[in-house]
Amino acid sequence: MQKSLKKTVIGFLLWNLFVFGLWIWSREGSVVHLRMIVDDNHHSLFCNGQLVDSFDVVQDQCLWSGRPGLGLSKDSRPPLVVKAQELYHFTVTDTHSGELLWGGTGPMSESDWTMMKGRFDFTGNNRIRTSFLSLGVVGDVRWQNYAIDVTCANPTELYIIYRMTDNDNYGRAQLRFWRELVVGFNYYRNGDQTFHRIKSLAEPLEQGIRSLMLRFVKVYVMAMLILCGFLMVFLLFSVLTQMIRKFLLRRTE
Amino acid sequence: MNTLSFNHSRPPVSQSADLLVMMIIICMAVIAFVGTAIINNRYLERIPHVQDSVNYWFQAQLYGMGRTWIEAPENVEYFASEHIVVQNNRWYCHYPFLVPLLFMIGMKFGYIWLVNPLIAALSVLLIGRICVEHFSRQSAVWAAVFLVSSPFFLVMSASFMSHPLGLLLTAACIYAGLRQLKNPSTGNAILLGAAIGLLFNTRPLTSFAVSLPIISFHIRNRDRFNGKVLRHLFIMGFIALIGVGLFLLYSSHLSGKTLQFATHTAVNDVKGPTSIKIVNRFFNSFAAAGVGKTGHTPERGLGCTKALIELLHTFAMNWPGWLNFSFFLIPLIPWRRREEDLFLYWTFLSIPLWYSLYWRSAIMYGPRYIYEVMPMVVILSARGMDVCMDAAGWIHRNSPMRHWKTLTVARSATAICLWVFTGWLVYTDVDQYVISDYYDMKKFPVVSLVPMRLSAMNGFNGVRRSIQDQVEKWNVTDAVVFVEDRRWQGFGSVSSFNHPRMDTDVVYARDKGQAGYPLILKMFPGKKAYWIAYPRAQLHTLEYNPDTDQYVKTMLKEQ
Repeated sequence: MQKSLKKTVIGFLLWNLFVFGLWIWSREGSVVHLRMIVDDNHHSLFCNGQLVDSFDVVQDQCLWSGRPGLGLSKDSRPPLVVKAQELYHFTVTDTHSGELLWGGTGPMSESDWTMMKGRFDFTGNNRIRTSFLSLGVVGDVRWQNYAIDVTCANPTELYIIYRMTDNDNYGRAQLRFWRELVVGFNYYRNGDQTFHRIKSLAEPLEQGIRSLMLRFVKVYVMAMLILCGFLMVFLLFSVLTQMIRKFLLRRTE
Repeated sequence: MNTLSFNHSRPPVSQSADLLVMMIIICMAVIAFVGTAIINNRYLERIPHVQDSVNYWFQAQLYGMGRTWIEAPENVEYFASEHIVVQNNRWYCHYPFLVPLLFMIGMKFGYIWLVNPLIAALSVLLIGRICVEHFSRQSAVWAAVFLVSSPFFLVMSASFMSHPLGLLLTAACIYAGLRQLKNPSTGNAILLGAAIGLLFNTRPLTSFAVSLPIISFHIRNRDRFNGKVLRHLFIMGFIALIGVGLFLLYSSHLSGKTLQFATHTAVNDVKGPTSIKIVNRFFNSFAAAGVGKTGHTPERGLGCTKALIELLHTFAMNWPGWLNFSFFLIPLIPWRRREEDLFLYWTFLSIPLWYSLYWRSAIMYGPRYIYEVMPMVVILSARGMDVCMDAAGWIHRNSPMRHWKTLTVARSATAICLWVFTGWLVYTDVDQYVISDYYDMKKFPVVSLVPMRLSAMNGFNGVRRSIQDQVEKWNVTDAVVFVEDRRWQGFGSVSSFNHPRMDTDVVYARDKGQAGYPLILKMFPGKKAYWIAYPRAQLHTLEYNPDTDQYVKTMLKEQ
C-alpha cells in the first residue's frame, strides 16, 4: 500500500515537472526570423534560415529603389491566442557593402517611421504591435539593394515592404502564417499591380509545436486550478460541517 | 505511472437515479433535434450552403431516381456545381455514398433537412450511453449538456454536411471500442468493425484516425484477450474491410474503371472548376499538392492543424477565456489515470494528427476536419467532473477525516457547487451564442467561415434563399433563370432547386454571357428566360433584341 502510494506520488510529481518543463520551453510562443533580400531584380525570402522562395522579376515589372518597411495585419485568430503578434529586431543591411543602413538593438520609436497606413504601437521591450492593418517605412528612397531582417513573435499575417517610393509604387511580401499559409510577392507601379507570385509558407515545426504546447500548458494550469479549487471547497465544507455537527451534539448533550 | 484497467467498476446507483439520468439524456437529445432543426429551418433556410452539401444533395436526387450517375446534359458547365464531376459523360458526386443515401431517404419523406438533426439527437443518446456504461451517470448528463450547448455541434448538425454522421459513427467506434476492450467478444469485434467500415464510407481519413488508437489499445491490453487478440483484430479488420471494399466498388462503379477512386480518375477528364483537380492531387501525389506547387510539408500540415486546434479551442465550448477545455484536461492530472481516459485522449489526438496529412485547413462552420473529436471533448470534459469527485473521495478515504460522519454532506455540497459553476459556464456559452445573439467581435474578429454567433448562420457562406424567394414571389413558371455567376455562391444558392434530369418547371443556369443564352434556351424550347442578380436577387426578364442581336435585361418592378 505504502509502496503503491509512493509510486503514485512520484509519478504525479514527475508528470507535473514535465508539464513545467514544457512551459519553460514554450513560454515565448512561436518566433520566426525573416530575411528578405532585394538585390537588383533578384529577390529571396528566408524563414529561420531556410529559403522560402527565390525569384527574378523582369525589368518592367520591378522597381529599382525605395524605402524598406514593415506591416502588420489585424489578428485574425480566435480570442484565445497565446500571445499577440509582435515584430522586433528590425534591421536593413546593404547587400553590396554589408553596411547596416537602419536598425540594430537600440530602441524603436514612432518618430523613426513614416506611416503609410494605420499606426504602430511600441511596447516597452522595443517591439511593434498593432490591432489593425498598419504599414510603415523607414530610411531613404534612394536605397536600392538591401536585406531586411526582422523577428516576428506569434506570426499570423505581416508584410515586408521594399522599394517603396509612395503609396502607389512599392514592392511587398505578404506573409500569412495562419490558415492560408502562403506568401504573396507583389510589385505595384503607379497603383497597378505589375508583379504577383505566390508560394507556400509555414512556421518551422519547432515553433508551431511550441505555440501549441504553450496553449496546452495554459489550459492544464486552469484544469489544475479547478481541481485544487474544488478540493479546497470540499475541505472547507468538511471542516465546517464537522464543526457544526460537533456544536449541535454538544448542545443536545 | 499507475493506470486503472478497463474493469474499473461503477458505483452502485438506485434504479430511480438511472431513470432520471435516462430522462435527462433523452431531453437533451430532443433539444438537440429541435434546436438544430430550428437553426436549419430559420437560419440556413433548408438549403445547402457549402459545395460539399450541394454535392450530397445532388447525389441524393440521383439515388432518388434509382441512379448513381446520369448522362451529363448538353452544356453541363451551365448547370455544374463545384466538385460535381463530369467524367466520360457521367455526371455524379464523387463523395462516399452513405450521407447521400440517408439524404435520399429524407428526401423521399420530404424532410431532408431533418436528417442531420436526427443524427445529432442519436449522437447525444449514444454519447450518454457510452458514459453510463463506462463512466458514471453524472458524466452522462454533463456530456450530453456540453454537447448540446456547443456552438460547433449546433451549427454543424444543422447543416447538410457529412460531419454529423462522422461524429455519430466516431461515437459508435468509441462505444464499440470501449466495450471490446472491457469485455472482448466476437460480437463486439463485429460491431467495432462495422462502425469503422461505415465511418470509412462517410469520412475515410477519420476512420483511419479512429482505427489507430483502437488497434494500439488492443495490443496494449492484449492480456485481456486471453491470447486471442489477433483473432479479434482479424474479425474487426475483416468487417471494416468490407466497408472499404464497398467504398472501392462504388468508386470504381462511378468512375467506370476497376478499383479506382472516382476522385482519382476524375482529375484527367473533368469539366468545371479547378478545385476538383486540386482535391485529386491529394490522391494522386502528395508531393504535388499545396499552394505554389511546392508540395505538402510537415510544417504546412502542422500549420493547418494548429489553426484547426486554435479554432476548436474557442468554438467547441465557447466558455469564458481560458476556462475553455479546462475540464477536458482534468483527467490528465491525477496520479492514477483510467485506461478509458487514455484511450479517449489518444483518439482525440489521432484525428488532428491524421488531418495534418492534409495540406489545407478547409475551415467551414468551424474547424470541420476535426469535428469528429467532439465525442472525446465532451466525454473527457464530463470526466473532469468525475475526477474532481473521485479526488475528494480519495482524500476522504486516505486522511484522518475518514472518521468524520458529515463527509457525505460536505461532498454533496461541494458537488452542488461544481454543478452550479459548470452550469454557469454552459449558460454563458448559450447566452453568448444563442440567447443574447451577441458575440464580442473584438474577442473573435475576422475568422470568416466560422459563424461567430447564431445569426451569422443567416446567409452563411454567401448562400441565400432570396433568389428562389424572388422567383416564387413573381410567380415565375416554365422558365429558365440565369443566375449571375460572379462566385459559386450565386448558382450554389439555387442549384438544389434544379434536378439532375433538368426537368423542373423552373430551371436555373449559370450566366456565362450573351453567347450562352441561345445555347441554353435552345435546350428548353418554349420556356421563358429570366436573369437574376446575385447577391441582390433582383429578377429581370431576358428578351432577345434582333436589332442588336443581344439579349436585353429588364428589371421587374412592383407596380
